[in-house]
Amino acid sequence: MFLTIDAQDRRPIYQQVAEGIQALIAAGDLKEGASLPPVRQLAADLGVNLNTVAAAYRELQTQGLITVKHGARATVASRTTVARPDTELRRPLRTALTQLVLAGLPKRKILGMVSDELEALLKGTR
Amino acid sequence: MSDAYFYVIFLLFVAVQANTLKKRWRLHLLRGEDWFFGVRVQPGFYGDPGRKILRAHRMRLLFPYVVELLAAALILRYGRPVQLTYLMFGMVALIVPNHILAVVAAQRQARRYELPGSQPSPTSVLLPLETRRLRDYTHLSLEIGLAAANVLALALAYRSSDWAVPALMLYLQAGALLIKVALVGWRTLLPADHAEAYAEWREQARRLFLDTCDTVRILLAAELLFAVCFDYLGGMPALISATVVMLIAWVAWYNRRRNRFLALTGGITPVKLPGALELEEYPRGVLCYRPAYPAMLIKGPQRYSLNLASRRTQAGVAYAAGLAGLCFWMFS
Repeated sequence: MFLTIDAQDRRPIYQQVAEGIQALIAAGDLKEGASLPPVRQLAADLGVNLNTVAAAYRELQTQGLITVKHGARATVASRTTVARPDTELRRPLRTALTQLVLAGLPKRKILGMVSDELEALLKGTR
Repeated sequence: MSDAYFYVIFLLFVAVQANTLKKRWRLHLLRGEDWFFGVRVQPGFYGDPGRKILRAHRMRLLFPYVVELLAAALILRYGRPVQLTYLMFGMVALIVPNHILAVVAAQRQARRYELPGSQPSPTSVLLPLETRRLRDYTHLSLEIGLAAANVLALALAYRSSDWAVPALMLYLQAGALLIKVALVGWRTLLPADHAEAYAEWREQARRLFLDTCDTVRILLAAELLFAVCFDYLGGMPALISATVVMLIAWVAWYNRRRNRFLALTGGITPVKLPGALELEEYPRGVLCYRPAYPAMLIKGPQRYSLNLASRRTQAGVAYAAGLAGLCFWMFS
């Protein structure tokens, strides 16, 4: 199981790490209770500051996707514990859709893209 | 111990060195005639420019052996045969880094004649999400066996007034364990293309080095046990025979594993992976102090820099200082 990091990506490294782990959890590659590598190991492998990986883990913890206990390794949280309001969940979707509309794509094309991405994302969970 | 023991061990050491040197002599052709180590060279490289680079590389390879020859001659003329043991430890500490540096230097020179575009340098890398722990690379039965052998040896050595050899053997075993810890933490970053093949290669490399550390620990524990059982075994001939058999078995094992690994290495195209992804300023020297970065070695655009703030580096420095102190105590 791999995390993809692109040195030329505009997103900061912590965001790439957080979003990569999010995608693995969504695809079912990282299942509930699975352990994540220690912050120290990821930071040493990537050659980044400890705080960068810690920030990614904090972000995931805030979203309720992982649990981090002091002195123990971070683990993937139970999906049922992720109880977030509908409006909060819709916000990133609206942001992404806005980008696609601003790019001038027709509604049909946008729906097709969303469907394809959702299909790819859920492939691993079935 | 009699002088014969040290002479036999030293002769075995020389034989192993000769075999290793023979392999390293042609290691640049591991991937074929189009390659010089990990550099895909232009046609005709082995004509003029390559010949000079290769000659300089081979001279660097020979350097430690010249030092060894002179030191051995001085020891045999003025010193005591026991000092050949220290020479062997010194040679191991010299030959391996010398070989690595010689290959790095030769590759750097050969890059001027590299086939354009032959070495991809991907910006996108993959990071395995598996946790690497020392215990995943530890065999419980082996650890119990080693502990039992060491305890038994110490119990037998307790009556002896000579603690130098047991102390050195135990300290070297601790050093092998320290190297294992560093190997488990070895940076594992993979190129996006052929990631599975690279992951397999990296894991095999890690396993080879870790198993080498374990077998060296077995050798040291066994040698310690043999040394303290000297009288029970029937003296010097038995000790020499046991040592020779162990070393020959170890060399055979190591050669088989190394050849298998080199065959795997030959099928892997070298990729230039990015260095530290986030450093605002790369370290300029070979040493640096970056407390926020846990990596032992920080890879910059030109070279690696040893991070003195890393816990593993600090443990290594403390170990080296301890080894120097122990050797000083043994000599004095």
